[in-house]
Amino acid sequence: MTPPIASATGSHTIEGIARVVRVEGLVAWLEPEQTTSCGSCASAGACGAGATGLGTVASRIAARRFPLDNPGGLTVGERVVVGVDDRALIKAALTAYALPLFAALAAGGLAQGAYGSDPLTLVAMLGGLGSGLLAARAGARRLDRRGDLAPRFLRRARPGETCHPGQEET
Amino acid sequence: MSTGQYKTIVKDGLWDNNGVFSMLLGMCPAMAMTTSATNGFGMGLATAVVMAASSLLVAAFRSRITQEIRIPVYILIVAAMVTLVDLAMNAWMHELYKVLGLFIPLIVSNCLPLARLEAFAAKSPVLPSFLDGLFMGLGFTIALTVIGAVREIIGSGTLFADASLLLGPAFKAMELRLLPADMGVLMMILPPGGFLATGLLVVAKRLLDLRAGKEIQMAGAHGVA
Amino acid sequence: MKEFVLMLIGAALVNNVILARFLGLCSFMGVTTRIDTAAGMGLATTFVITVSSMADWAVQRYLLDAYGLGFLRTVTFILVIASAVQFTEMTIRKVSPTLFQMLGIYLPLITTNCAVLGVALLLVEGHMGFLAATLFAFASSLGYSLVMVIFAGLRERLVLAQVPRLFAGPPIAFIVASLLAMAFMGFSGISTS
Repeated sequence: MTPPIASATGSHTIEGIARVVRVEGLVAWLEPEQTTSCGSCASAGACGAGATGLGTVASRIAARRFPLDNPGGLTVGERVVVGVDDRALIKAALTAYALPLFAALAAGGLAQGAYGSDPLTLVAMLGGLGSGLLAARAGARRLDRRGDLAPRFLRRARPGETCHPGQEET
Repeated sequence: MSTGQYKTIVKDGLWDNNGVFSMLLGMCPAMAMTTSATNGFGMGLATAVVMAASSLLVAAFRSRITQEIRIPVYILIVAAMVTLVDLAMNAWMHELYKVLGLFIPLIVSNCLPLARLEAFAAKSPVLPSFLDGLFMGLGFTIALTVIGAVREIIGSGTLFADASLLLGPAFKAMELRLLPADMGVLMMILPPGGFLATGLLVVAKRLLDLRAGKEIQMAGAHGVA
Repeated sequence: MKEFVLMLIGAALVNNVILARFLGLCSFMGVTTRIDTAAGMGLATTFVITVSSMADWAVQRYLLDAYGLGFLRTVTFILVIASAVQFTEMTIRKVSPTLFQMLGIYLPLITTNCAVLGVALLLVEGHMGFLAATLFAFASSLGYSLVMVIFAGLRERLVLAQVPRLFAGPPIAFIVASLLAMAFMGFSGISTS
């Protein structure tokens, strides 16, 4: 992906390229082009992440479609550059992962301290994980409402533009 | 398949498209298990056996494996082969088994077997796939042995030390001492040496490729200018 | 208590998953071109390692040990890990589709990340109780995330340097990693063993 672009607030915008797959009135549905987290674009190497992906939910690109307000009359098939605040990514990851984990570990620690039995600690941890996930859902809703997480439309992609500057595909 | 295509499989696997130096896959054992040439050799051979066997199986069943379940199936096949190799080494090559320890089961998560299964064995007949797996594995063995040799010679001055212990008495003749023990650079057999040796050897392979007039393979170079 | 804390620091820093044990190197090289992707991957891996270690411990104790099926450990552990990754994907999707949008791409690759299987095998070898094993896994994965982020910071700086063409990409990254490994060797003074 392109190097971070510093903005006035000091946070960086991560740019990504997506393709318009459907237009419904004022909302355009986009599919991200970067299919691997290896750092390379749709031309993935040996990672095994492709159109069908690793057979898991997250890797099927269709499952990662997202809506975008359609400002400039986008048409199906166009490639656009969207931006996400990089602080948003960290916040998202912390909400989704750190919250449940800490809840689980806290619950487990308390159970171990109180009873010292392995099976009980296991159950307590699962309970902690569950409640942590519920808390994460609440946190995610709050982030959603504040609009921090949504990608923003930046510009249309130039014809040969890929995720990497200097590696334009011809 | 023609002989030419077979020759390509052999050459690619052994050197041209070497798993470690060109494709940069299988880095974990390449740096962890190369504190000596013997360890690298043993690790490589274990991986080669797993790769050959799993490529054979995947190619044999490739028409039955659908797109959705292919990765879990590949992983299961590799895991089964790894279990067999693990048990066999525990029984018949116990010293080497103790040295390689964790990294035998970790062959399952080695990117190289999976990559070859996906890129080759899933689309090719049984014999070429078997050969591809075998020779990619042998190329991997060569790479690990070279890294291990470099680290061992600079780090402790020996070459193939403990070969007879780990591989069998027949290999006793391979044990050499090339430099006095106190001239060794200890860092080379410690973790930093693993990274350093691999990095410099990748550069060496690129130099060799350049001299032979071939394109440098910039695998994994994305994102770094 | 003190030994416990030292064990955790040891798992995170002294025997660092990446720089000392050489696990998780594919993602170490692949995802660390930017700090934010490294952080995202690190957090996702932390979650998966901790959850799957919990499951692996339970499987080892109540299935493999109880029925003498130790030889099936590799196969069952990898299945548990794959399921843990699926579980993580499904829960993140349920928790928040928007979060799933942003974080989903990291998850499938964690299945074949040697660090996950490696940490699980290590904690089985350590014969620890449930809480100790989980904290060991958590500490190891925090060490992993820390090193990923540090290395990503280094590589972002590296983009501005003039690297000779032969060294561009992985080789110079490996050399930087060896220096980082040397720096982390300084922690070995804290070792308890």
